Amino acid sequence: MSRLGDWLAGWQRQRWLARLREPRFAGLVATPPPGEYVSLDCEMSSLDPRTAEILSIAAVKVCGRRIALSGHLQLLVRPSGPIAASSIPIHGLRTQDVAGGLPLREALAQLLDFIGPRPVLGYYLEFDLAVIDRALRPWLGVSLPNRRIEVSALYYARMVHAYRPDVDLSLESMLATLALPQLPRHDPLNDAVLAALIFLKLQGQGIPGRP
Amino acid sequence: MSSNFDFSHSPFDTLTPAERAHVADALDILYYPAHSDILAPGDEVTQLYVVMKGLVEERGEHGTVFYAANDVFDSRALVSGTAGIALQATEDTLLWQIPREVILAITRSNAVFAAFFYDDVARRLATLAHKPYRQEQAALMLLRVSQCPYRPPCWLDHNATVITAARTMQQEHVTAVLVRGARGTGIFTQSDLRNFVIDGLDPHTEPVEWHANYGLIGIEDDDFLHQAMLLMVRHTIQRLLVTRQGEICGILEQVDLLSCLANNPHTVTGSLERATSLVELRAAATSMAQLVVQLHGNGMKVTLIAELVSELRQKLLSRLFTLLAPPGMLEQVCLLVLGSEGRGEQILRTDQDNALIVADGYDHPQLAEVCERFTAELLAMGYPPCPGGVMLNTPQWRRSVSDFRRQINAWTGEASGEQLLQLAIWIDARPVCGNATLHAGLDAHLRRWLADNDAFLARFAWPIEQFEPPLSLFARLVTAAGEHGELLDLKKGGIFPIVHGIRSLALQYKVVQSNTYQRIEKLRGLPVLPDALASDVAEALAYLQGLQLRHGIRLEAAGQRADNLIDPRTLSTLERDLLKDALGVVKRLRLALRHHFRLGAL
Repeated sequence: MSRLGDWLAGWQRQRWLARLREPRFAGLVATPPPGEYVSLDCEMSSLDPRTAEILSIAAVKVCGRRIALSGHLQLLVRPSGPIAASSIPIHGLRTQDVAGGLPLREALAQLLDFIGPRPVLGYYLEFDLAVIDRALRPWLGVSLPNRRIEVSALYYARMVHAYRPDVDLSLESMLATLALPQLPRHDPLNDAVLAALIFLKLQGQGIPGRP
Repeated sequence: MSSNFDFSHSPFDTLTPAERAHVADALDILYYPAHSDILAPGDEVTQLYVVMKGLVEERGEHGTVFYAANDVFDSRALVSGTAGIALQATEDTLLWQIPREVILAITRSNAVFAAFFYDDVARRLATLAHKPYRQEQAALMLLRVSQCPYRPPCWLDHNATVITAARTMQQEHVTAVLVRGARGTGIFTQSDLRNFVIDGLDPHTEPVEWHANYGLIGIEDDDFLHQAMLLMVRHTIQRLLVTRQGEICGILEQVDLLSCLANNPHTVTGSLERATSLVELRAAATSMAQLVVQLHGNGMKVTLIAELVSELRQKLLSRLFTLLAPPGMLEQVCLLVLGSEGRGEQILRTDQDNALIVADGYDHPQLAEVCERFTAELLAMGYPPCPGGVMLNTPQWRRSVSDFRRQINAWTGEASGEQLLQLAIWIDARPVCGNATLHAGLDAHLRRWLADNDAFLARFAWPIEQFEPPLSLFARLVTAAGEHGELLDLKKGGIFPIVHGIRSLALQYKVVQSNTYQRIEKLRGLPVLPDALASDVAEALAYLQGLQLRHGIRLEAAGQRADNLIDPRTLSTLERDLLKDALGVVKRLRLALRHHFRLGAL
């Protein structure tokens, strides 16, 4: 990174720390361990980012070529309001299913500890992070500072071509094109693993030999 | 999480739900782009790898092997902790990885799973190969006599009369009583009682010991039930004395044994022996074929099936010849089974291999006709003719004693390939019917001639050099790319080198047994066949014959003729792994024999 870039990043970090109301989350802006990422997926109570509430969160670390599935994070969250009836068939979570879930801030605290300073990656990550940030700002005074990697954008950049401007960004199509296994969908952990697989595969050429 | 890992493949299908949960919790996923190295020799191995998607290539001493989805690779490196071979991703590959300590912990509690990781080929083959198709019945054949509800013996005094014996049988609900008489321990059964009544003797005065049988056949109570079954089949008896450290402790009745074993070879034996017409004999032959399929389906080990079936088949041949032969002929001839049939290793009806020795100077106008009918009847029962014409209806395999002696001299003199193979077939001969001394004389003649003739033995052993174990075939096991239609000949590539190699050693060391497993036991411990190699060879042969049997049963079920050609792509990873193990043993045996017989110098 250029010196100006370094300076800018440092300035942003300082500004973020100054606004942060809970010092225990200062680690989010530390230097990330090299080659480590966190793939994230949430199930929401609706599809409107202004009102949607988080019902479940799954995250899995990517370390080099390894998806650390065994150390994954998976949390159920108790929403404050009702779950949109139209979303229930998609994620399969009814009000009684999440009644035993964690309070939102407790779940988010665990998620932030899990993510640490690592870049966050996901599929249509923007929506998930918008909802997360909506919860973080009134509580911590800040948004999630981590670098964000949208796997569909990586995929688009790889696939787009002057003669083929339309790229099918559906998850099924991406998995099929990349010859990745189709895991059962709308299980947030599976979705997080799939995003991690797409990321690793698109990064493929960049990964050196044996661990 | 509800795991995406597929537990339906070997060896994970042997895990209990709790063990599966342990594995599921410990899984990580690895991504390797095409052409990247996964392991190199000497790398520390801390994980077990299972292919999730993609293709992994192993370049080892046996050529290149490929692993595809659900295959486990380098399982043995996991035990040693160090990679022995190079592994590379052929295409973009995703792997599951399971930490070594999780796998090792499970191997301590789950023996079948553990066997997958054994380094010892014989143990691996013995534990894994004999995996029954219907697991719940597998234990049956391993039952011991003590687990069968046999009855305690009913003893009578030596001065007891027959009427006392009859009353005891009635009161105690037994079908036989034991008596300690002047001639030792005897048994008096219901059929003895029946014969007694027919003879019209006085039951109130005749001592039972005069009418008892003293040729008692017993079995130890910690012997396996199948041995009891074999004894009953062999001696055509309905009960055995059960002994514990030599002391009689009960009587095992056929009905008790049958109630223990769902399978029922006895009805087949019974119908073979009762057959008084060819029609009845044919029916018995059909039920024999069904029995093989049933025993195999029940998970009985192939060597045990072979033992049982060859007993039955020899009875069938003996019965058939006896039915066809005119009076007086049996004393003058000896019916032999040859080759695999003689070794007791032919399970399916692959072909007829038989011969007839005729006493010098004997001739009967119907002799040729009897032999023709014998061959035709076997054909009708589903035994195809021997492609090499080794059948007693050909003049070459129906000769007088002195004719055969000349033939043996010719075989041993010329030592051309064809002659050697005929001699090999002859060496495995077993007499099944008629006058066995005719065969014994010829056998002694052959062995006298062979004694210490090392040069001949080397030529005899030489054909094992002809067929290279087809290990290179595994190189073509690429999932989809292997459309070469390459088939593996189990017989040439694996079974023949073992059988012939062991046969050559048996000849040299004057082992009289014709069964390969029995020969191996006799040869075990010689410098050329040390203990470990002997066990490996026996298990490898059992595995190969098991594959051959299953393949044959499949073909026969589809209405095709059994052959020995297996498509390695139809095997599961485990079967392929074990096949590779078995062929590796064949290779080791060949090397040992090459050195022993100095075949390289020929």
